[in-house]
Amino acid sequence: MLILVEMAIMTQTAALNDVVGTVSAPAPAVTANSPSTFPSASSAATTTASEDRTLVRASQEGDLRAFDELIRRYQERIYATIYHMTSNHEDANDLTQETFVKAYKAISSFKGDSGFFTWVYRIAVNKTINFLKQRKNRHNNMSLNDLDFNAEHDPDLVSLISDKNPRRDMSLTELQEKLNEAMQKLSEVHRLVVTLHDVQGLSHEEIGKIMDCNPGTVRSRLFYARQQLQGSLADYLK
Amino acid sequence: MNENENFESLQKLLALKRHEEPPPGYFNRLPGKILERIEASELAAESSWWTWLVERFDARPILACAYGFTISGLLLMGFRLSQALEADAGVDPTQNFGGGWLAATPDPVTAQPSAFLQSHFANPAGLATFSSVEPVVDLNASHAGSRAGSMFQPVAYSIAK
Repeated sequence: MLILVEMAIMTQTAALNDVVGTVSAPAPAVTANSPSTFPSASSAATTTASEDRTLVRASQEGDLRAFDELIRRYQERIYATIYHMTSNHEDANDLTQETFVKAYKAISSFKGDSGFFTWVYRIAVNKTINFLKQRKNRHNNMSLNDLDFNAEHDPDLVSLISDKNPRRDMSLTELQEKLNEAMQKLSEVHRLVVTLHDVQGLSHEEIGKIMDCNPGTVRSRLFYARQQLQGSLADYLK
Repeated sequence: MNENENFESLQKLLALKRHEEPPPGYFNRLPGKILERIEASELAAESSWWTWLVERFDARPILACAYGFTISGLLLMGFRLSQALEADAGVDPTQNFGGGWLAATPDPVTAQPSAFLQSHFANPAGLATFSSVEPVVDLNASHAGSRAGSMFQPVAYSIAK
């Protein structure tokens, strides 16, 4: 309880609301809805990191309430990453749960060399890639989430489904299916780079830390993945 | 050259993925489910060695059979060994095995009482004083303070009007 009170004070002083939304309350669905909402501002990131350290220390002492707070902070981003990688809600649900269970079991070994966010992302990514390698042998049934109400009013999407588009009669749901099919044709690492950068809005450096490679490799993978996607979706991008 | 220039349309299309949402209320329920799994795994880790063993046997029936045969074999070997040791000590093993352990029980008719019982029950007259149907009272005790004397006291009752 003391930790939560302490964090509430820190939250007020940092005025985080302007950057990443309220800290104590769960972030809105898919926090990385736009890359600009990702906590990249240095002061906010520092405060969030120090709050994370406090919560991690408490979790290491077995405080489940502190870990619950960590889950609420990152569940949406972790879920979204796994979901975009699997294109299946049930698989994403299972893997997200497994990720946090594993994180709690291993939290005593977390030394704080990287941020908790990066660390838990790594667990999620490794779990997902292992899962996808096993799933290669069986047919992948996509189980896509519904599009939210704002999709129809998204200016980017409105401009895509315009008179210039030969597939203008296509609904957003059909377009969503085609997009997910094209994503599933990519290799795991290429899909991951596109998901983390183009969908979730992480920087090349952050992706490099998560994938344990340098930013140059991230850039080249991203370029290749986009080329592949552009080839697969050529009919819908005219 | 900006790396995004050639992929502007693609990036617009990828924006669609940000609008894919799990069922309503999903993120309110998820932390609870995760904590339940954590607590369940902690309980499982604290379970007894017996639970651990049973779980292993459930997963591998062949292992359970192998353990069963091994333990049965060890018991049989131990029994045989004990028989062999008894035989070495001069006891006829056929009396205790095959002939039966029941046969080794003394016959109540022909068996002789032990020396202890014989010494205590040799005098039948002495036993008569321990009759269960007669009072165990020494009627010859006459001195004051004796146990019999103190047990019988004359009592007179008067009724007050």
